[in-house]
Amino acid sequence: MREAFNLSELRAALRRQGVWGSSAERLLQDWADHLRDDVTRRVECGENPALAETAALHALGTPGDLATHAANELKAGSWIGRHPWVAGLAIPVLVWLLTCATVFCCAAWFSGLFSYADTKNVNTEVLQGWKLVFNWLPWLLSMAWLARMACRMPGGWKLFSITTVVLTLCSTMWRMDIHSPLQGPGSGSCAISASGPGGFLFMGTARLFLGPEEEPAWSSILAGGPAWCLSALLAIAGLLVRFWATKSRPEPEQVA
Amino acid sequence: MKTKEHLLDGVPELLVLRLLARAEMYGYQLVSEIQKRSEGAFEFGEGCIYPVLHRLVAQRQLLERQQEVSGRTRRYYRLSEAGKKRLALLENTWKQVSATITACGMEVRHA
Repeated sequence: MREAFNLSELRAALRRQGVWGSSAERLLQDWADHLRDDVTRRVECGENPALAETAALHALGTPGDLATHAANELKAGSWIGRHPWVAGLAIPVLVWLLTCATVFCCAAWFSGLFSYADTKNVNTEVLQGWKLVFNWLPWLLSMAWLARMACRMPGGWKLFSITTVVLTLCSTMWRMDIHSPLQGPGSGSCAISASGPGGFLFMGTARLFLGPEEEPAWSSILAGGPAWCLSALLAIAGLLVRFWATKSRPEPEQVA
Repeated sequence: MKTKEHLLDGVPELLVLRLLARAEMYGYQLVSEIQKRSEGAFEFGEGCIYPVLHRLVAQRQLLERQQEVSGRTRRYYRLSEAGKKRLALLENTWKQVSATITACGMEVRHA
């Protein structure tokens, strides 16, 4: 009977439902305390200790039911849990777009200055830094959100998979190229170009409506290749971490 | 009475808030009180009350304090001001639902 309330089994059930860490440990502590109190009360009322434990366990609920209920309650208690599609997909894409727009506007404003500026006044390192920020910050933010999603997964596997694909495609979609005005004032340039599979799809869709003004730049697909591949690898890593975290691990703890 | 899960949505929360509005209680005491007062009417596991308590604490509807009892830390819960408002809202909703169901039942009997 004692094996029935195995903490590792309950912990594994909670993990499978996406509940872990301090929330899970506190619940396990409460359930264990509840069980002890219930068994004590039943024994004081004259029940056989073994039968009292069986009855207390039955009254507490099965690990599956407890874990499901706990997951539902915790989801209901958080904004992310109540709005999984907004938090899991709309917000990360919006953040990515806003980050791109902000960095692009700053760069555009700056490029307007440096195009006509004296070469001596232009800090080429700052320009290259800007390029680096534009090309990598949205990607980093997207991937950070993806890592968070992998841990909590309020929308389940379906939403996680969709978020992975969308963020991987979006985050490598645009690339900024900055050429410093090394040949004198007006010789610098700042351009945003499509890159990676997401950029290619975007350009292809745009040409459907705007007409084929120029040949598709097949090479642009490969331009975002490294970041795209890294995104895909990180997404797979997130899935593996999630899988590892949710599988049960035998532990000797039991409530006596 | 075998109660379906969807029918119980919100009921544990209402029970918890109503009981804690009367007195400060710890987890097992609260569960025992629900069992005693409901006379086994609700067949959800006793353990299901704890996630509800944790959520209500996180939402600041309940306040908790810890006390050492027989070498163990016991958490006592009581209603906060936000909890009192939430209880009033839930009770009002419950009365409306109950009145509607009663009214529908009366129409059926007269049909």
